[in-house]
Amino acid sequence: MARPLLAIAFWLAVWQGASLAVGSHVLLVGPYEVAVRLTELIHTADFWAAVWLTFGRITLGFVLAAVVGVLLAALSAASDWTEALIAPLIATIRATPVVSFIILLLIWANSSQLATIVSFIMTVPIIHGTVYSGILARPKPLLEMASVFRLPRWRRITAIDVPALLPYFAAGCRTGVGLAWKSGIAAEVIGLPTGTIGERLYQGRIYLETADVFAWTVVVVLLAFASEKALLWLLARLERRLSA
Amino acid sequence: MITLTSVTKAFGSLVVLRDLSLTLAPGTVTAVLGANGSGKTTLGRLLLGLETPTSGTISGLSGLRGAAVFQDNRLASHLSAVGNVRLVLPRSAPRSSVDDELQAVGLVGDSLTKPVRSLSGGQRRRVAIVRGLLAPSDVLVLDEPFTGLDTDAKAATLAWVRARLEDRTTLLITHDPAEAEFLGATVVRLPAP
Repeated sequence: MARPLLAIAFWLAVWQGASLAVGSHVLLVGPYEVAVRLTELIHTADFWAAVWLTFGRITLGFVLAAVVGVLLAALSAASDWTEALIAPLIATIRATPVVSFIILLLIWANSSQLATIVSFIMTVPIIHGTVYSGILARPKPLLEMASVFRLPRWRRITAIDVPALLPYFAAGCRTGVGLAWKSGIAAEVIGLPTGTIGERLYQGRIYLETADVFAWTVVVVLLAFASEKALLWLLARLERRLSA
Repeated sequence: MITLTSVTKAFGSLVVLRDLSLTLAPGTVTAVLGANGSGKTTLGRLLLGLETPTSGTISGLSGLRGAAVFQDNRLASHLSAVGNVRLVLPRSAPRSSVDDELQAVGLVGDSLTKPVRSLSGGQRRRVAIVRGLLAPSDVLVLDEPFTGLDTDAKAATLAWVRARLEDRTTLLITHDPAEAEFLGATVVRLPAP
């Protein structure tokens, strides 16, 4: 425990030292100034409104991606035909730069929906890929057991499929949550939906309020971290429940 | 009546069973003995519908419900002993009867409720046996079911199995003629590979 804290303290000291060396609040603010600015921000209603709005939109995009990613993985595993049908779609999404989606969506959709749609699109291939791998790696001996004993479908899903897929799904979620936040915030910075974290980041850049940019970035990092931890906690609970 | 007629099973160029003809009368126990690699497990898998013959026919299986004690247990490792057994039982089966049956083969206390991955090899074996025997079935395949049990546990479990075979058509795969004799089985010896 002490070693990671020491490492963090070391890098904060490096950051503070660099800030002092640069000597410009526009170019690089130090961690102390960022902490002060963050403390000011969290005492405003606008801060929490922006946090909830962005959190809600990106979380919605991620949850939809998790559902659709699992369904597409199940379809991919259902037959060679469906796998062949879905593979190019996933490959295209993977290869397309996120900014291309953002610009196209700005033409097609309302900017308020942008973060949800972009985080959804960027996360679907991750969840699809990991869950599909999990489906292919399900233990054949247990599937044979289920076939011999003619387990009802629901029992097979809860006793064999879900426990086998959970580690894969969790790995996909861990990567997917981070990507949903990065792409969702990028979408907000470009689309500038009113009252969002992305808009605040953009304003920080325009008005050269570098402390604001750092403070909001810290908020995004903390939200992404908390989302990941909450999700993994939920999955661990589900695993315990299945064992009961 | 389950009848195998000139059944051959090959995996690629490897012939595991060659031209086997065998009849399993309803409600009887047939013990299959043979050296390693003689095709005993493959015969069990054919009866369970997990393999199809390369040539020859198997008749009389249609509509029959299978159950098995697999050589490698095949338990859901995150479920308890009770959970694994109840998995294959009708929803209406009372939990208390499952507890009683597991206790009858020597599983007591928290070994009934903790995940089977934390049980010993012998305990997991007995869970697999209870699951296989309690599952509703017409055809039962027991693939070296008593391997890994100590002498006392084996004796108790053998007696428990004999009392619960009922009128199922049973295939016992074993290396031990004494097990076959205890279960009143007709012995079939497969030729060495």
